[in-house]
Amino acid sequence: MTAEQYRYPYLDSSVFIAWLKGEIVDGIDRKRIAEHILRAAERGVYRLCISALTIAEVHKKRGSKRLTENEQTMAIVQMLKSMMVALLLGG
Amino acid sequence: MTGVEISSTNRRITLTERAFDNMDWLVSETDRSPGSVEGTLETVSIHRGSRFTIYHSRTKKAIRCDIPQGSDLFDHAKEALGSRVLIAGILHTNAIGEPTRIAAETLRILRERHELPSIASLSGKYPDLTGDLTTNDFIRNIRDR
Repeated sequence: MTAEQYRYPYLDSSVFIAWLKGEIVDGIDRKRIAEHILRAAERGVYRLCISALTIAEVHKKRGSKRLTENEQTMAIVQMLKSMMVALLLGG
Repeated sequence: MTGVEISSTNRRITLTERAFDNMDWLVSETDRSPGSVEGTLETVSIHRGSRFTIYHSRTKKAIRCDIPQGSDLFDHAKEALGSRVLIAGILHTNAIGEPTRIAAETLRILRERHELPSIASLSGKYPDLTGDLTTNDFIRNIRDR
């Protein structure tokens, strides 16, 4: 049986963090999976849905009280916002 | 009367009451909330009040951006003509959640898409993003604060 195609997937912060870290956990390449989902969204196969809080969580540097403001993290935020997305205001 | 018939030389369409109901449902604004919308700024107008129009990045549909009186947004909008922009304010959406217009409060010019990093270039770029914490612990830490 073929798995049904995602129609409107919601992605939690962990997906983006795994992708940026290049995470492999218990032999599962999370980066590769995340990349596959993001590329399909970029091609317009489906729309992604993410929370505004996810952008803050991915953008926040560990241990800092404020969000980081360097060029690279701003670029990531812009990319997340531009390539997809229906943005939810709640969690 | 069952409807209105519209015809051209090679096509004929009957618009029924149901079609009008559906159009009403689709174009009427159903929600209003603080939010933002991204698109390309392509029109600036002073006809019956200052406004500009952006074309949504995803849907490619026009979104009217009303400028409050006395705001300097109009000058910003002229400078941003042709650019990718992010407009924040009070966002009006239709029945299917698509933005239809926004009472604009701020305008930010964004980089063009080709200037943004690609998915491939960011994959695994920050192996130390969560320091010595696992991703799960990192997120738990943020959310528990």
